[in-house]
Amino acid sequence: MRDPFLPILLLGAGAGLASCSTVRTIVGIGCGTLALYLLALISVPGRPPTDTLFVLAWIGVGVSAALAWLPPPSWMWIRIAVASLTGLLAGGLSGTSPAASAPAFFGMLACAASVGVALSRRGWPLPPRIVASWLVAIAILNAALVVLPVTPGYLPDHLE
Amino acid sequence: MRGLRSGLAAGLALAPAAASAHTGTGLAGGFVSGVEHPLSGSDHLLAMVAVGLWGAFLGRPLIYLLPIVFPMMMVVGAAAGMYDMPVPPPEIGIALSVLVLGACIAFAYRAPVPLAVLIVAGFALFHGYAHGRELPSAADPVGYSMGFVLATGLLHVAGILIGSLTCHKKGATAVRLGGGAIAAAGVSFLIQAAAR
Repeated sequence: MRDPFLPILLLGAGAGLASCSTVRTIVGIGCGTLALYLLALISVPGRPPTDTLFVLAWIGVGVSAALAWLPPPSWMWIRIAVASLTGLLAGGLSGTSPAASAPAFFGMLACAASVGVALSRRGWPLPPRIVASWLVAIAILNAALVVLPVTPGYLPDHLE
Repeated sequence: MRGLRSGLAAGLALAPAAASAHTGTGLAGGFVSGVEHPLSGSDHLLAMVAVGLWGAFLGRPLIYLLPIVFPMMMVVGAAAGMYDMPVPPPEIGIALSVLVLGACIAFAYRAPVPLAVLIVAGFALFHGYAHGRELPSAADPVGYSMGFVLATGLLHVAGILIGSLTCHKKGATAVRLGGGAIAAAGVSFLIQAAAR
């Protein structure tokens, strides 16, 4: 049983936290993720195997969340480029299951970005960064889980 | 009357009590189970709150470093648990974590930054190992792992909020007394773990 919903949700959170910076960064990441999400939906034949896609998604969650630790005005293009890739991964994952949805990804992105920006502007830049570090931890663990072959949660049970 | 009792007993014996084993397609050990795991075990709960309390006591930068280090090292421990790597008995390590962290708060020990990080990171491995040993049996490991990492982080935040009482003199005394109580619980856990 492998549900892409949570990875998609966390990709949105990672991209949102990465965009806790200037307005240009937020707009850039919003446009970049949307464009790459649509691109991933269109380019169905080029999709990698599901396992690879999940590992890449968890790496994407970890890397985009780690971007939240960069000082706000700097590294704008790196932030936009890397966080936009989460759109590509989310789009790719959404093709593996009809249950996964674009609203979850973009909703979480908008939510994480707005909360992060609001906190940063009020002089509290650390809470979003701490949450980002938890996302990195979750991503590391789940990347390890994908490689682990004996997890019963990934095997279809007798009802499926 | 006797016949009624016999019938009732037979009916109960034939009732499909085991039907609740499957309530869907096997998502029993998911996000909620992951959240519940640190909250249901008092040893995990006390250690994680103690990390936040100690961080609040030590101030910057440890107030935010410790809630980052603990979940990070916990997932390393969880990975070690999933792969069944040999480690010292995790129950002893978890009990020691409660004892040591409680004692650090009770004695207001102002550890240097590297030492505090080392202590917390070392103990986090044991907590993570315990989670990791349970993780493979979870039906939804992604949800489970997400649940226990988030619950751990929120317990640290709870500890920091309680620890913010140290701004006041009476609050600091109360926090230190709380640390003493946590250390006492740690002694009890240690005795239980050693007796196994």
